[in-house]
Amino acid sequence: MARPEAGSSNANPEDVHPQGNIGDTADRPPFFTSWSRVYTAVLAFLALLIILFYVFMKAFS
Amino acid sequence: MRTADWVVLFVTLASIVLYGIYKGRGSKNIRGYLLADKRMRWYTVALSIMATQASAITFTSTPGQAYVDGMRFVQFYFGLPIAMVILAITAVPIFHRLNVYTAYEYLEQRFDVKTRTLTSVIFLVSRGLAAGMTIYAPSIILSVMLGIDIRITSTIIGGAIIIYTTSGGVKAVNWTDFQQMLIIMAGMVFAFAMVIHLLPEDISFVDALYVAGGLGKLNVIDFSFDLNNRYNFWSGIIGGAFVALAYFGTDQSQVQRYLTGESVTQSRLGLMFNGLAKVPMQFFILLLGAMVFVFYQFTSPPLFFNPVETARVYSGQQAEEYRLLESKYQEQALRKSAALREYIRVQETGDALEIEAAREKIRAIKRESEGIRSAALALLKAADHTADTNDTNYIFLSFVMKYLPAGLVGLIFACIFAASMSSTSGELSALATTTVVDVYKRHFKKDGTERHYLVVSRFAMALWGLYGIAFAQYASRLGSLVEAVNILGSLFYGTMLGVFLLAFYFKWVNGTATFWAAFVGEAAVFGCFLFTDISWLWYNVVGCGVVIGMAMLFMAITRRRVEKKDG
Repeated sequence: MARPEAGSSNANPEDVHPQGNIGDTADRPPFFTSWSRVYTAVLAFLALLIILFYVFMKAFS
Repeated sequence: MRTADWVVLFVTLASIVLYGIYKGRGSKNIRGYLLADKRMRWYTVALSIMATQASAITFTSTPGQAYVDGMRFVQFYFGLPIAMVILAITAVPIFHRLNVYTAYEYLEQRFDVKTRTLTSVIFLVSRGLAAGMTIYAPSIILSVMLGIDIRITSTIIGGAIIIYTTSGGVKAVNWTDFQQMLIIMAGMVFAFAMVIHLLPEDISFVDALYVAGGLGKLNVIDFSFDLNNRYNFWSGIIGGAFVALAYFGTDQSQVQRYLTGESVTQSRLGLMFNGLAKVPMQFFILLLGAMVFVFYQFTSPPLFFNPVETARVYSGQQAEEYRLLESKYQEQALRKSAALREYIRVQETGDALEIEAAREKIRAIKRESEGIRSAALALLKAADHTADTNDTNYIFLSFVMKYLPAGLVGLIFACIFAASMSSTSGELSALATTTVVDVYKRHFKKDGTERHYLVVSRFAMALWGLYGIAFAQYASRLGSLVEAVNILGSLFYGTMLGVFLLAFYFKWVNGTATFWAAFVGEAAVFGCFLFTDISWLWYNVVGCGVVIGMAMLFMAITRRRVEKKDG
């Protein structure tokens, strides 16, 4: 598909949306083998931080 | 500031401008100028995203906020990693595949031109006002602390940005953001190390944490649910996620950062890095503020941190009374540091009764100190009824100027300038891009040459920069309007997010329903702002929810009418 020019409306977003799904092989992450695992790792890290912050707060208050 | 500080400050600022010009050279068309030819690697995208979000106020006000209010502000960022994941799944692939220049361009492809124009105009108005503020806010603080006229500080910040953004476009913005973020991180780490180093010899880092915790400054997590409480776990994880989704998903100043990524992978990795690093970074800056607080428990703090307001009261009729309060405040500070040493000692014994008794003694002294400070604030107001009695923004810089060694003071001020430049340059490039792509090219001149659009883009970049400087010069005359401008920005994000979520996830909703739902959503947000006490973090949830709900309602009504006609 030709690249649409800025300000033009000749591309159909429906045509291109499915290519952007998580399993796109051309867009594999460099680690964790799949994007789902990368996202899980980021969210798990957030959960870990919240737990650590809570423990930190309780330990010194 | 000493000579070494001025040298460090000047060399750092000059290196930023020269680096920006060097890295931004060679843009021959608007794809290069406005999208950096989509050649950026994830680490540049990541640091550029972080640098654009972190304004100078982040580094001047956040430590001060921890000093005054404790570390609970960190909860505001809990929703950010969630938003990063949602955007990496949804927005990044769509924007990349469609090769758009702006987020609003996608809305025309998905809906219609009126929806695109509405959102781009909302962005230009809200972000345009905010861009003026991002120059003004640090300029006034730097002006006060360095004793330089605000016209000079705002012209230095704005002028430096205009030089490298006009010459190098987004490529220069991204690379200087990268460099600025490294400078900022280095400055903050050095400042933290110095605070710990400057604590009294008998107070270890762990003791300092006990003091901060005992005095309520380590209040990192609050699980209580209260719509009127601005910072708790729930407002952070839900409201914060909506704010981050709106900011990173619909605000061109952020969308443009990850649109420059070389591929979907590079853009996604940039967002993921932001999701990983942002919360610990904010925690660290707040902890720095908590440590400055502890430092001032053992070293007498000034009664008021803003030197200009203090000088004003010294030169007025209230000078003698103010000096008397200062000496009382110093006496209280000495009593408090003795009581805190006692508190640290009893912590080691582990005796709960002794600990509580020591804590109560500290609380009593604290109450007395607060009484003295309230009296001092009243004197400031009596000396000048327009006096700004909030000195939160000056706490950290006051500490830096008084206690850090030569050279490091210059580095910290360079950090503040760099942070201001990084956020403002991102905003200016986004404003210029939206002006050219969504307004000028779409509505006024559709068939221009690449060279023509490149010249117009450079012109727009310079014009927005000049506007930012002009705003900063006159902002102080706007009085309370400045505060209103800050609030104004938070009123539009929810509606914008609602429009984009409809575009991404509700394929059966059309442009007309979305367009009118956006107006209803905006009315709901203004209703919350004018008639309720709901914290602004929830405005985004309300605006977004109403837009989606109303769009579906409009679609249902339209469908029923069509069915009636057909029937």
